[in-house]
Amino acid sequence: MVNQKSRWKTTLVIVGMLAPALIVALGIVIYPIINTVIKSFQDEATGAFTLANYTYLFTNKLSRAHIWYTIWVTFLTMILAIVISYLLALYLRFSESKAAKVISSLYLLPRFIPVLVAVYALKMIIGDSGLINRLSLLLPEGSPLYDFKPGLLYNAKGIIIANLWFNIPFATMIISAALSGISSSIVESARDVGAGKLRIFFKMILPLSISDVMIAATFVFMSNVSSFTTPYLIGANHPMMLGVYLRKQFSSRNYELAAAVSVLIFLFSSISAIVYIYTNLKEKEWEKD
Amino acid sequence: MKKTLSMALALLLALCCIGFASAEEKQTVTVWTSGSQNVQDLFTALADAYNAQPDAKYTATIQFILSGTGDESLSSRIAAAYQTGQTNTDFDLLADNTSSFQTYVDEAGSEDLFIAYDPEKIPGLDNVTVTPVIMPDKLVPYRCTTVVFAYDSERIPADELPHTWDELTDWIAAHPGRFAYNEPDTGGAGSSFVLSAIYRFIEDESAKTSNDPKWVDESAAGFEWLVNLHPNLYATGGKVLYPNKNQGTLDLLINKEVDIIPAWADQILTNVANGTLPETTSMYQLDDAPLTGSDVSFGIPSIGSNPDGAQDFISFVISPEGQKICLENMKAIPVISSDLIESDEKDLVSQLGNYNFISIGTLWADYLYPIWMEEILPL
Repeated sequence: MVNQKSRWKTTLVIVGMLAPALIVALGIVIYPIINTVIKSFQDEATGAFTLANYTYLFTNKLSRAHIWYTIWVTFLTMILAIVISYLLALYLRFSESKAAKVISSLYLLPRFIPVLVAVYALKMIIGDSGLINRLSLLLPEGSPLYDFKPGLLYNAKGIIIANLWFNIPFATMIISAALSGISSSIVESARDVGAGKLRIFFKMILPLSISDVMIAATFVFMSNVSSFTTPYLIGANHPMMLGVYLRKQFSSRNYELAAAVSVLIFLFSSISAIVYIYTNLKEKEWEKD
Repeated sequence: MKKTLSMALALLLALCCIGFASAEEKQTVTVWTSGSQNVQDLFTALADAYNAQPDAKYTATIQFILSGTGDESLSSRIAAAYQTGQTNTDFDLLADNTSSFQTYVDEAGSEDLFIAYDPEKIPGLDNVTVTPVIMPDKLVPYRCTTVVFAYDSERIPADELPHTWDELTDWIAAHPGRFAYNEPDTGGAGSSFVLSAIYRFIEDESAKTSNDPKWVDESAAGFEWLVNLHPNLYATGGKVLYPNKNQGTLDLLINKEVDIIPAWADQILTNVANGTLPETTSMYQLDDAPLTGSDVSFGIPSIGSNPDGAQDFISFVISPEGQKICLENMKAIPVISSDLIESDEKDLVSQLGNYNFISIGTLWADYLYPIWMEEILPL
């Protein structure tokens, strides 16, 4: 009886301590989400229930273009970021060279540069009248690269380049942590019994790190599907990423349509969240055995 | 000792009271406006000069909303305050393009949103040479602004310069990639170009100051012209680009990526003055239909709480002193005769009075821009 009472007390204390965080979460996260979902089903003029906002989103040729554009830019960013990061992490983990040491202490640097600064720096370098173009103007007139215009800004290429700049360090960090958990001794013992490099990679390293790779991938996906600053500054006006489209609808006071776009972005993020949770759960199961 | 101290404290208290009383005497007049950064700079300078007058009766404060960051909502906020019957707000004075005042009235649903000014309370009104096309008894123009075609006279020889819209069409076709206009929703230079292109095909002059949706039907010829123009506009990475904001096309001209752009005259002059554009940059209008410009006016919302202060501020801005600030700070076209202004810079703007006035209220946002966005942007 006494025991039960004190347990009840403990529970109360825990709930009491969690309450402020819970209230804040309810107020600034949960409530706006519910509000947005409701708004996305409302008619602009009457507030009555309607599917018109979603119908518009999926049938209008402009917004459909924006959705496809967002999906393929995000996927391409994710795939490129993960492949490059994986290779980089492998190099950093297994190379003893000096270069690897230097890179391993420098690769996180882009994370510490504010997005705006980095994007403007990128503009100055790869813009059609940027550094690359200015350097090409030093070549003799008439040579094939004279007045070379990279043509990388205001289209998907620029967005993807900027996204890679931000995401490679992050993904490399996560994958490096996973790779450092693989002890050198098992790699060496596999090598001792004659396993080739590729075999070691596919039979040992990849299976042991795949769940962290998936986690890195979901994070890259989530942060890019809703990105705003980069596509706003160096993206085209058409098609545009959903984050920019959302802002445009919002500033044109199409709040209901903006809400529907928000819900769509939220759904895209949820898919990657599900992948993340699923990967985590699988890991837990594996630990149980 | 104690007595001296209490005396001193009492004296201090009395001084404080006087001090507060004199501070209280000066009522605030809140001026609302929106636009690019140069508008904010101008109004900061105007308010500083106004407040620095030794005999200033009011204290002016500026509420500025940067365009593209919710300036659409300024008209909504004022309309909301008006429609909910508020009467004592701090919307004391509003400054915006005369053509935009139609939007405020449209949203509020009544011209009573603005009160008629009292000529007695605005000395110097007789000097103003510009009469607003709409609500002339309620709006007081304080500067003019216009979009022009800007080019570098060093790069385009005088005999190649297009002087009519047809010549411009030919020039753009002959020089693919050397002309750009900005995404019209992101800056007035682009929308001025699009509007001018559309309305030059509409013969009825009254269309230019009408918000009647029937005119949308007549916009087809203009849009067709814009569609045909599209393939020869500035392109990067193999795709035609409509740059964001007025600054976007200005940057292209500055970086010599294009040769002619529609741009705000004051922004060109400011860039020439600070050296980002060369001295050889010239501005001009096409002969058959100039690009749009507008007088920029003050209107006194009926829901404000200080109409006297508002009129006092207006009379300061239209005074030779205020006009000099507008001219020198923003390269604005004055609304009073330049003979009254003492400034070395008045010749800069003397040729810019010729512009097209198009005021169509919400017709742009509700009909014409969506057509542009659906028909031209995805090309």
